[in-house]
Amino acid sequence: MIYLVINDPNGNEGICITPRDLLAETDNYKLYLGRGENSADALLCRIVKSKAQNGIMYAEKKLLDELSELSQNLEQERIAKQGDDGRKIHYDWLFPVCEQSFSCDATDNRRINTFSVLDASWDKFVPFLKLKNGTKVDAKSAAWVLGRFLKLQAFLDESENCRSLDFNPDMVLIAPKQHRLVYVGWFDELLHGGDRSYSHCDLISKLNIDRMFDAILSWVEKNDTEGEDEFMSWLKRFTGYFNNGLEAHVAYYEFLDALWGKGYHPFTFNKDGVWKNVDNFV
Amino acid sequence: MGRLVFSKAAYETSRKSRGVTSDKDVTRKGEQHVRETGKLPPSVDPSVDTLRRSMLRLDPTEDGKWEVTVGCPMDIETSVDSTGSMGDNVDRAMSALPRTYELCSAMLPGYDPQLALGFFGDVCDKFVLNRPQFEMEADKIVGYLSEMNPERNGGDTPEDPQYSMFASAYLTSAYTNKIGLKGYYFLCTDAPMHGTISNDTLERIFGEKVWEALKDNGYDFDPLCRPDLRETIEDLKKNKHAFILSIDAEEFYQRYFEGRIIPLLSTDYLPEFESAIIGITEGILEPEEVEKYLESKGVSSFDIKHAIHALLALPFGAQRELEQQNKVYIPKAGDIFENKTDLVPTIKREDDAGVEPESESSAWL
Repeated sequence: MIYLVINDPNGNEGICITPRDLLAETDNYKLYLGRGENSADALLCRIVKSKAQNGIMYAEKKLLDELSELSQNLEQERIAKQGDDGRKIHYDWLFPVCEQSFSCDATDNRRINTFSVLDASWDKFVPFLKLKNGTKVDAKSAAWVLGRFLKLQAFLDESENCRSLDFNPDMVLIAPKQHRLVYVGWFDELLHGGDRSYSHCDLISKLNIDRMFDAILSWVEKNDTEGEDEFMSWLKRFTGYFNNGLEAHVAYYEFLDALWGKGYHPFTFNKDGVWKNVDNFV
Repeated sequence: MGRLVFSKAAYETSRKSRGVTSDKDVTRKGEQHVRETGKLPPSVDPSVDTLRRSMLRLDPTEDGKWEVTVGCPMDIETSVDSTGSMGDNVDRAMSALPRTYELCSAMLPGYDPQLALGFFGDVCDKFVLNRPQFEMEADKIVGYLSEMNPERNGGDTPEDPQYSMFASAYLTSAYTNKIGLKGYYFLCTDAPMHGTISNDTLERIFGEKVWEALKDNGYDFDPLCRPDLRETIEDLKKNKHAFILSIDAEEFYQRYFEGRIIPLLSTDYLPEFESAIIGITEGILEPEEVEKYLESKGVSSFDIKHAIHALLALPFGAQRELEQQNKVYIPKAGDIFENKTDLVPTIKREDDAGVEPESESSAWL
């Protein structure tokens, strides 16, 4: 099989890529699921098609580093206010970690970014749209996915220094069994919105939340389960209502608590190593 | 055509000789000219010698040929809002001129940077546009800046920079375009623009002979169906590496200049941001170096943070891509041209290494 080992000039582990590893291709880049040369860990690899976009790749690395820092700061702020009760917000589960960003001869000096995902493996993730287009789900399964969507928006709205994100469902990966959702559309966001006005944030949040509600409404299959009608009605009633992810996230989990009891958690409980919010799998 | 380039010493001397001793009200001379004549001084009047030219500087040789004196000219045009809160921008441009030239030059090794630093206002203003020729010597640039007539006070939004864009797109004759490269165009504003270009205003700004000037420059427009605003901007982007330096006006310009808008907090660091943009576009300033470069030039961390993502999203090395695509030879000082109007020298100062072919290994990546 044809494969290529791309060596990071910074001395990090090489990356093995084969043509079969191609996951997606846009006008601007190719996305591969490569492997660490020695560790064999799955690495998502983005390679731009033109050197002209090397700057955006570096900006993506920078942005993801900033998001990671913001996420940690918000975690610390929460602990400072409420004490360490073992719960973690884990905003950092919603975006990938950019491990390496470099250009080299193998890519004709086009930049390559490699990504891992915290506390999980890319092997478990599938594109949300692929899942959505291939299968319908019950309301309870859809509920956690929407929770993660809203959490991502809440993170962007809570971290005031952060940019506004024009959300693209094509760029959502989910790991159904782990109840994980990761957004990987940061390059595209920088490509199209590097100069987006910060005064647009409210409007963009509103549009994103409405898009999320819409995506979930069209995904759920009616099968007369308990609370299903109320869940759908709530989404329809509040479409167009929220323009801030934090508010939407809080209101949504209050609604879920009232509807189905304490099975849904806005944050992650990792006390005693138990993930308490994984009862409702897709 | 000479070998003089901008120098700090010449700048200081020129300011003294022109009576520009303060950093405020540097345009007294220009404003006095307007009071006395009702017209803009010729050096900044867009209707005088309507085309703006950026040319290769050549000296005759003993054997009747022509030698490049400095290097390939690089036209850099800026058009800055001079209304309302932006009214003191000519003063700022004058103070920042040495930084503008030196920082841009550092990103253009081997080139002959030629600056046209203009200002725009509103169609309701007496003068919508102050547009000088491209110049490279301190005395000439200090001269035209001191003869500007900024609107300064008052003003409302939107403004009318579209006439500056029209001029850059169609009323510029630049050597860079002739050989397949692009010069630079920066529009700095804090307000949206009116969405139309009118023939009446074109003739008011550029004179009734504007149509002839356009024709002379290769644009034989019928006034009844000349390019509208969107087409003008598209042509501007074809001819120039065009950028908007926006102070809270990103929202409006997004529809025309997506990916080419740099959000700024003020005009304090225009030279630093312009030079960074040029460095990125020329492929001189690597993405990893942009932030450090701005820091090293004294730009505040707030200003950097505000602009950095947009800066990094600019096409890196776009000028180099043009050079490769169009197989451009960039003339160097010492090259010899057979005729003054030739585009390619007959004797090159040193062997051109040429464009390296793209590697074909891992072509599937």
